[in-house]
Amino acid sequence: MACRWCKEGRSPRRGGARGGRRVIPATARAVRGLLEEMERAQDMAGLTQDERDCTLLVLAEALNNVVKHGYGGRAGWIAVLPGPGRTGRDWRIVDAAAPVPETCRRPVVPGGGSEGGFGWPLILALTRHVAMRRRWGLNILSLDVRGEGGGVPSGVMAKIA
Amino acid sequence: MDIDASRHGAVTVVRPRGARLDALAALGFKDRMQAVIEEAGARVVLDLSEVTFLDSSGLGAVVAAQRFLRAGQVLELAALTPAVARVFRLTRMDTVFAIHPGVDDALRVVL
Repeated sequence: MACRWCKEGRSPRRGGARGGRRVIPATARAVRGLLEEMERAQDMAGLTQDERDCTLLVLAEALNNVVKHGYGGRAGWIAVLPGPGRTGRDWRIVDAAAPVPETCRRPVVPGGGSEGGFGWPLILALTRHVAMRRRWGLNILSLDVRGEGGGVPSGVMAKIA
Repeated sequence: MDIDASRHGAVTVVRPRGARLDALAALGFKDRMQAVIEEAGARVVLDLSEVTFLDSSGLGAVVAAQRFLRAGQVLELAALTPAVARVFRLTRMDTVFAIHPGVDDALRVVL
């Protein structure tokens, strides 16, 4: 599938970083591989350990959302690009899946022994800015992870079920 | 994901072998936990000292392991690394589980 965002005429090049941009298949295994690579690479070299941990967790949650709820098991690709600030904490995630359903983006930490639904509240708790838009048939998620340890926005934790 | 289990009287200590309890590992972890819990004592202590990355799928798998407990069994956690402790704190799952600083602390507790 063509990826206009990545300015490629064909399917995006898989794996590896080019200008900080990476494209992976939409699988849990590829997500793990990407995060392990980013942890070793220079992308986050200027971050504290806490900031790096939070950034990798936010990326994991966002990428797994696309794999599970966007593509829903179908083959696809996901691109991860540094944000304009290139701080190591700001990232964009681009994919050609269906938009992740609103029901998978509830800003509420589930209670009552729930085994799922933690991903989006974690993203909100650890970021200072999240924006999702649809353009050229692609989903573009912008994430800016909070510095030092993250916080818990009252708007999130106040809504604990 | 491989996990080791050892029995200390009524306490079974379960230690996942691997740094990542993530979306890829979650299903295998649940299956292994079910098998271990079936043979375990009254207290099951999950030693997370080797786990340095836990995402919401991994968290869900830990929560799901409670479903395999028999009446009278309890699942407790020990030796959370800072990144793992953060996930439990932010999701308030640290209020659901008894969490011990280390495995030795868990073994010293008498219920």
